[in-house]
Amino acid sequence: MSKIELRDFDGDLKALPAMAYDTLFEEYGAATWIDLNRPEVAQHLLADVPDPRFVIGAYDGARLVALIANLPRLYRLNGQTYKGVTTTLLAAHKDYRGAAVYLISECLRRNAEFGADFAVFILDKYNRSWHMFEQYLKPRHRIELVKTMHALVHAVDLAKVVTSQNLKWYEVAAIKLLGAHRPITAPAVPGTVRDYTDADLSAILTLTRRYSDQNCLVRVFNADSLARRLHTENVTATVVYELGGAVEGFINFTVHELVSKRGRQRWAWLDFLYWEGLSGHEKQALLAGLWQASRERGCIAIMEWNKNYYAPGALCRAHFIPYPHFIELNAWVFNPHLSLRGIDKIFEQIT
Amino acid sequence: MTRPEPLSFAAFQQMLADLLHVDVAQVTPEAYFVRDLGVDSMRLLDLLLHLEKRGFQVPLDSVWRMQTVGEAYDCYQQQATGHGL
Repeated sequence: MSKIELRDFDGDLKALPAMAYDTLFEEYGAATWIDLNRPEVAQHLLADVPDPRFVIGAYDGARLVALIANLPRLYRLNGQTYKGVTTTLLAAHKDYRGAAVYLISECLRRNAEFGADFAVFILDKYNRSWHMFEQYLKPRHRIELVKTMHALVHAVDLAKVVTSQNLKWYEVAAIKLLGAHRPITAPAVPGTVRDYTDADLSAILTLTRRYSDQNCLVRVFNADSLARRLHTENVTATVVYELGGAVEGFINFTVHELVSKRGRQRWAWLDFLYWEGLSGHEKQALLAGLWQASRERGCIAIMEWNKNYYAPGALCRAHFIPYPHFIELNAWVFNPHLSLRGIDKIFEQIT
Repeated sequence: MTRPEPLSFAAFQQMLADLLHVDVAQVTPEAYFVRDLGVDSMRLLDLLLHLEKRGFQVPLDSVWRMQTVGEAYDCYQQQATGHGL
């Protein structure tokens, strides 16, 4: 018998579902989980990784039994630039669940080698990792709760949402009463809403940089990573608002597949947007574009986690409603001069 | 810093068997915690907590070096005798 070996991930994305799915179905029971192991999504996430050391696999011989990814990113906070990593894709085969601890252990070593100031990661209360962090890791390490994030949703195909989420009759009634299932329609506006094209990249890069230094944790994009973020076939998409030949706003989203024992459905997760300076009607037109783009991609609902870096009033007016679920954005902080505790505004995607 | 109390392998073996709820015969020096003893992440961390209470300190970034019962015992004894980690 050989040891479980921790080494750079060999890049075989097809091995991810076989490694993770049984565990996820078992752990989540009747609840829904987001499928980050779908090869297109994993490939999209890992495309930003410049160095194989940022993705660590646990192998039993040649077989992948667990994985963790550290996506290196630059962040701005309070006028300073920091080296951060987004830690994601942590999963282990059901017969090797303890290997997750080995991966976290190796992650810490490699993050120190990289000189990361912090690692941010999402904890979901339904997941086993939540208990591991709450009971053992948080009391012993400098792990800070950055923000508790609640969801706002709008149903695109209510019948499928009802099945997917196993909604009760009174929940369906509330959705209908609040209009959170109605198509979002565009009012008359002076500009046009259309799909993103490569020619929009530099204008959108300029818009995203306006968020820097606004008392907010802001991911700093370069052109390549932003281009992938804005359009990756079958994973991400963006609608833009153009006025007088200039891009004045945009909404970007990821097509995630949410899985439960009741099936697999696509949801549009709103990630990045810029609509400062747009009128209420122009914002509504952008949201109508988002609704249409989501529907065209087979999404049954649109979801936004309250990252709070923009005014959400237009979402409420378009009948996005609170969804009774929350996740926690946490940070493992390595820089002794830095704290991320309680940051309210986050310009970053949630995975 | 308090050192852990030195233990014979048999005593260490029994302690692990009790903590992990497995038959003591399975707790051989060659047994892998994750693969052979079915230790998942929570039980592994519980085990570390228990050992910590006995004065055995395992930095998290060193955990993966103790994959087998024998490796864990060696580390334990090294700390107990003042030569460890």
